[in-house]
Amino acid sequence: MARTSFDVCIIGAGAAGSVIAAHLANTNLNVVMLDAGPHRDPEKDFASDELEMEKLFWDEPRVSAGQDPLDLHRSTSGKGVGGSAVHYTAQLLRFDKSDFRTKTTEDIGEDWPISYEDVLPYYDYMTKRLSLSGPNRFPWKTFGDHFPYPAHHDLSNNTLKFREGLEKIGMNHAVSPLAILSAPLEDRHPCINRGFCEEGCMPDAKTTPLNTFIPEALKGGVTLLPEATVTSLATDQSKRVKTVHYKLDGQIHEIEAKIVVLAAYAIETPRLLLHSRNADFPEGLANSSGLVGKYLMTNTNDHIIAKFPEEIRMYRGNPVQALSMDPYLSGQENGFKRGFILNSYGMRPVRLASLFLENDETCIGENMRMRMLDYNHFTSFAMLGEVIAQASNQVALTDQLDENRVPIPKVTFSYHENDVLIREHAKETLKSIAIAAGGEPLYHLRAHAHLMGGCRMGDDPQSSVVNSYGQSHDIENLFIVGAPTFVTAPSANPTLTIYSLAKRSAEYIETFSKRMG
Amino acid sequence: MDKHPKRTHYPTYDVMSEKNEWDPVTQQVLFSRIHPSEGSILTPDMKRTLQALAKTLFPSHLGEQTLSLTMVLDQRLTAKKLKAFPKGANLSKEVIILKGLTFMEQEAITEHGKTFYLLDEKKRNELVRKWRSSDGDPSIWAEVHSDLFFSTVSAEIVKIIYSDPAIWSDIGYGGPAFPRGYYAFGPHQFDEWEAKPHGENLI
Repeated sequence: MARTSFDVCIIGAGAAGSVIAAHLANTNLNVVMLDAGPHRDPEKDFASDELEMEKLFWDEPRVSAGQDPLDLHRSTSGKGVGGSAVHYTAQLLRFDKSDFRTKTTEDIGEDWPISYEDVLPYYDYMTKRLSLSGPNRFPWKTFGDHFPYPAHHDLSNNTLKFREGLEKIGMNHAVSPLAILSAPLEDRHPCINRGFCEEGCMPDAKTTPLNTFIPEALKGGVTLLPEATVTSLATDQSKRVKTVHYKLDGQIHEIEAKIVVLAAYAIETPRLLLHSRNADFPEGLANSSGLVGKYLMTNTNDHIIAKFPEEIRMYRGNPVQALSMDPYLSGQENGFKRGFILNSYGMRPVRLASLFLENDETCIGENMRMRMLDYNHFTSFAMLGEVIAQASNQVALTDQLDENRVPIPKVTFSYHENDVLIREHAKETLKSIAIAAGGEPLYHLRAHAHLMGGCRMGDDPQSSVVNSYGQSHDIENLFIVGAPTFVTAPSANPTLTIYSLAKRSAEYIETFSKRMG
Repeated sequence: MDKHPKRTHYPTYDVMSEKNEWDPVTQQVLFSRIHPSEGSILTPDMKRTLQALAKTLFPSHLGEQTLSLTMVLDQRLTAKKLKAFPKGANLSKEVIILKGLTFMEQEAITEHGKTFYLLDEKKRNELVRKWRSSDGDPSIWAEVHSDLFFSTVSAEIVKIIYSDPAIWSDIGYGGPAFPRGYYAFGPHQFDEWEAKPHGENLI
């Protein structure tokens, strides 16, 4: 067993952890970052193949229960340095001002302890840092503005039909703000429209932690330990977190750290806190509120597949290319709360066939074959819907142990009635777009994407786990960053906010470390 | 194939004819799938049962497929790709599939005195219908319910079928696209290496 000590230990090298590491690399702090998966090289370790690139998803056992059990092994997960940001579609949107105040504005969910204005400087910073491409006149400026790179111009037939339908029914539409290069940047080339964004970008045109924050962290001297799975945290007599236990090469090792930053996404973060319970923290670390693991959220992400007389070939170009944010707060006029956004969203055959089967168990054999023979005539338009936080949607521990002798997590999830209303309204909207563009809507495929919540932020230690910087109310040298701290699950994609809030936390951690001495 | 009510739009397209244009990693991935090394998890009996089951569930696809479904699944099991639990289950996909294949054999022998892969098509179909609707013999399917086995194994079979270049050719999918990418954009514009647009839709 190796025992080492660092000023800061970051657990998880995804969108949140890598931002913290890159920031602290520019201080005089001694930083280590661990990740359960490997550190991959896009050109050598990626392939243009759906089945092969399943390796980017989390593949460890998790029990998924409840009335609407979640898929915990796809876009809701990531395994490897860069985390799920390696396989994201890279549509990066800011949240709306109302997202931080849903309780006040619509009497649903809870208000965040911060406002849009608190995050705005970090949104501006990340827009530049991530070299976002986007339209010079984006119709919804609060969600994105001043994109340093021009909007992508090579739009697929799937996207052209989507925009045609939106235009005909009188909705605004635009090319999506994307963390995908539309022009060269240093040694990196612009997108070649290969289409496999969700399988990892081999041409490296997509901006991810692997080509930004990770190299910056390594250059600044951060120690990165890939394939190191953290198994527990231990506290000392002063009730501070002190030791991180991890497994590497089949052996358990220890790191002592003055500050621990937990950046392991929405399942592994609460799992580790609950599993690390001890005599001083009998309900788990950072859990005096009893809310660790609670208020887990996702986004609904349903698709309408429509058939067109002409060939579409939805596999061409990056999957998500255009959007409409008009329905973001459409609930107010339609009898529900909050709303959704709309995207063109092309799928490759394995994903589409799998969704056909998941949504219709009779879609095997000849039924599947008949549908898939028309693959090139299909469009796929999708919604991304807000999901309301509920305490009953949670991460807990089972009695089953994994190969590291850590309890397997159990995730319980059921949709809120408002989530169902959003889905139904979005379904009709998607159908009308397809019809207006000349298509025949055939299949409504239910799916979901992203995870948020489980360690929500707030000012009150009784009703939240961390403050707005991710600092535990109970353990001052323990920070939780990334999606688990989200209070609501807005319909704008979460990753720009994850990057931005991580930068805000990193600045705070730097100041906090100086105060600690 | 004549019995199928629908035919491919692209009878002459062969996605593999472009394989030399693909990056070396993807070429290797596809080579290993088409010529899989021997896995170590499925027994010969399990492979025969799985093959017979796949023929029952996906008869049309298998006539058009080039992959050995059982070899690829065995390869995936051996590489520990099926450790995760399906939704609603507290067993891994691997355990569910292995036990399910065993239970299929047990019930086929109990009911018909013959192993599943030796039954005629009608009897196989009857059993599969029964198992898929959760009516497997409870004394046999206690550990893994038959509907859970079928949803799990079907999802894995579908993934493998639609990872087969021969099926990609049938549906006109362009397949791997690195390093060349796509450059022709606009209605009815496709890159010349893709499947040719089929006749009735040409302008």
